[in-house]
Amino acid sequence: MARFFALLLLVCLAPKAWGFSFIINKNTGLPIKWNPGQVTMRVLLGSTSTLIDGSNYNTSTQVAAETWNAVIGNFKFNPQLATAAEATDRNRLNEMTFAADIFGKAFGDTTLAVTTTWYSGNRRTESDIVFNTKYTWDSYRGVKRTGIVDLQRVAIHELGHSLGLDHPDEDAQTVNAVMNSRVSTIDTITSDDTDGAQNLYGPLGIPANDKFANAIAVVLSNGTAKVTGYNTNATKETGEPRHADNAGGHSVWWKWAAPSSGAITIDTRGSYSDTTLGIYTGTALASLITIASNDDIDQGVVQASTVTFNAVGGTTYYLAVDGFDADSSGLTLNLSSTTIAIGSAPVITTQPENKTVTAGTSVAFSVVATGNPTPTYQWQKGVNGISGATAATYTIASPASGDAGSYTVTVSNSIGAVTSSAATLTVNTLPAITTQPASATATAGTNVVFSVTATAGTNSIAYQWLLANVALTGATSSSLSLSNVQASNAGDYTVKLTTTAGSVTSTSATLTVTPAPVVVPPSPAPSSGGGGGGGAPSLWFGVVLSCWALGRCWRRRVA
Amino acid sequence: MSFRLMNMLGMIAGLGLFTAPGNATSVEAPNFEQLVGQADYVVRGVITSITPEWRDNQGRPYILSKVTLELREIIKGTPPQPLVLEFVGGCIGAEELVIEGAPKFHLGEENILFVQGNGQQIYPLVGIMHGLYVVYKEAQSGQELILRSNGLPLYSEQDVALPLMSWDAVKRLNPQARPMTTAAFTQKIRAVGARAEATTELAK
Repeated sequence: MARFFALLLLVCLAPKAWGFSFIINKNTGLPIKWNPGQVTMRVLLGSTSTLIDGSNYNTSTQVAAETWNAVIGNFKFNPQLATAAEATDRNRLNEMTFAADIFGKAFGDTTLAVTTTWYSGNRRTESDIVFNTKYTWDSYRGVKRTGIVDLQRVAIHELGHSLGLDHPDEDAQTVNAVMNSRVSTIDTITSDDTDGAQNLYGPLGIPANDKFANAIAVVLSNGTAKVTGYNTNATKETGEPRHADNAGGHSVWWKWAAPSSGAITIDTRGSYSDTTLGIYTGTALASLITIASNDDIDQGVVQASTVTFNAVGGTTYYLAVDGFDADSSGLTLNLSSTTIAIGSAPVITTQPENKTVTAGTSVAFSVVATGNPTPTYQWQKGVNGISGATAATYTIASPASGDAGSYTVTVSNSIGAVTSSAATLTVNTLPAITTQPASATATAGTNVVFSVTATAGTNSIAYQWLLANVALTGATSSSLSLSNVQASNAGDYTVKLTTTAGSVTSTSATLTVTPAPVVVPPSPAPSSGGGGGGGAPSLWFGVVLSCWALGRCWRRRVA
Repeated sequence: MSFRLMNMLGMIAGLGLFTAPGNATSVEAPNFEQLVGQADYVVRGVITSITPEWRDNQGRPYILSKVTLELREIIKGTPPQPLVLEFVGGCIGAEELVIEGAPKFHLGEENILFVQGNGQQIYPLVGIMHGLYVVYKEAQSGQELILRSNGLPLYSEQDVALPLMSWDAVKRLNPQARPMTTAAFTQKIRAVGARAEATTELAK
């Protein structure tokens, strides 16, 4: 009946979204693979022939082994080139060789090569690859040639079997893969082949969620979540609990924040190794509280793990997946709940609005958002988060000109985050005079300049100069230039500075205009005056020294 | 098939409990004429026992399994009776030997087998996986249909030479295509094999 089940399954799912295919232990449902480490693969194919690509049989298949080694994490073939000889089955040595038969039996007319594997449980113990001497073997890349079989691509294919990969095209998949059942133009491993091998032996490197502190967040969508990863090359941390009371050794971590209370089931179905699963609360590895744990769904039969527990809304649970007795592979973690409210990412229903205020007057931005779990808020000015601004409303009690700018708020919950549109804060500020206009004394006919300096934040300032509190026409800049001043210009000058927040008036600056010096004609020579009698008459020149009244000036005789 | 059953199977599949349909290693698929022509005999039968045993080949032990069939129909040739097929591989205790990718026989399963070199070859079927077809009785129609060794329907006898996945391509080209019935398949085999052998019907 299993075959009929398989038919129905494949009809239901084909074409599958996933790729690759494994050689499965029918008793455990898990792939049959090598223990982590490396296995020696004796290459007994010969090194005397020079092949099309310049290699020989041994080096061509050595490249095939290294091709797999380059993409898998915790297992390596160690090809050892040896003198051509007959391979020996069940000698605990892994060998590649040419032969006309296997165990004394013929290949069959159309069989190019065969991989025979011994295994116990889920573990491979010996794997031999035998190439049929009936065929003409060579080594070349690219298009398959008639009558000449490319040893390297067949070796890659057979070594893939040795790793535990099966034929994806015979498992209801349409993928490009060297592991497909037919020799084709595909002469090396593809991404699908790599995915398959890495789900058995992991990729190179350490998983990102190896450490508790680097647990990857999982979020339910419509009550379910499915995440994948690897625990190959992961380690166990000091102080880490035994998950499902097994020593394990390759744990990785996810975390899940329950959006509301309810029962949830978490399992590792779809993982390719014997897993253990532990669910914890707490924020430090050394003080975790165990909520639930499990080794096998069906002890020793279905070696995936499952737990069901009542989650408390708002609580963050840490989910550890380890390999039973340090097993490792590609992992799948499934979360499912029919009772926990389906969460939703935040949605902003009312955006914050632009604001204009006078400096010193309280102002508030507000946002309205929905989401489950209840969202949290973080306001930003420009790109910088504002410390403590973590509510739906952000109030600035006494805004100053420096508070003007663009404000946004990011609304988040465990499912997602959204940032509002920008709202602009304009702070209107009264002008602040930093330099008052100064009084001046000028001689009539000269020029005088009054000036004022002031600040008003980002506001623009309008100026109006006044003489004796009467606005001067056209005097609307920060300085007032008076040309050819006369006595009529004398007086008290002020300037009124205006912004959108209001006006201020400067202190008064007084202009004093003194008369200009005048040239006066010379006076007649006095009778007793100098100049000598009987001589030529002297000329008097004088300059006006000062005037204290109209027309009355002191003069000094200078010549 | 019922949707309930399909759903159940989908759930089971989700558990990862299925044994992946196994097929052979690097094999050049025979076409239908080669399949029939290269077969020593073609039979329809039910697997009644699978018995693994240790064998020795020049001092090297290996596991060989004997598969006994209750014959329902001899389609080509003259097989020995009872028919016991031998293939390399099997499980004894904790040790198991597999020919990677070769299909497995299942107790109680009814097959059409293109037998070649029984006792002489590592796998006594023409083209290994290409020499095994499953008889499947469709519950809804009561018809006996032919499945390929990977459990997928065979739509035409000429498809035997195609990659096993090609059933999907066939279905896409002709959405109305129906899997071959056992009767139609055996008729095609007889037509090709008529020159070589007479066919003898066995009483059920």
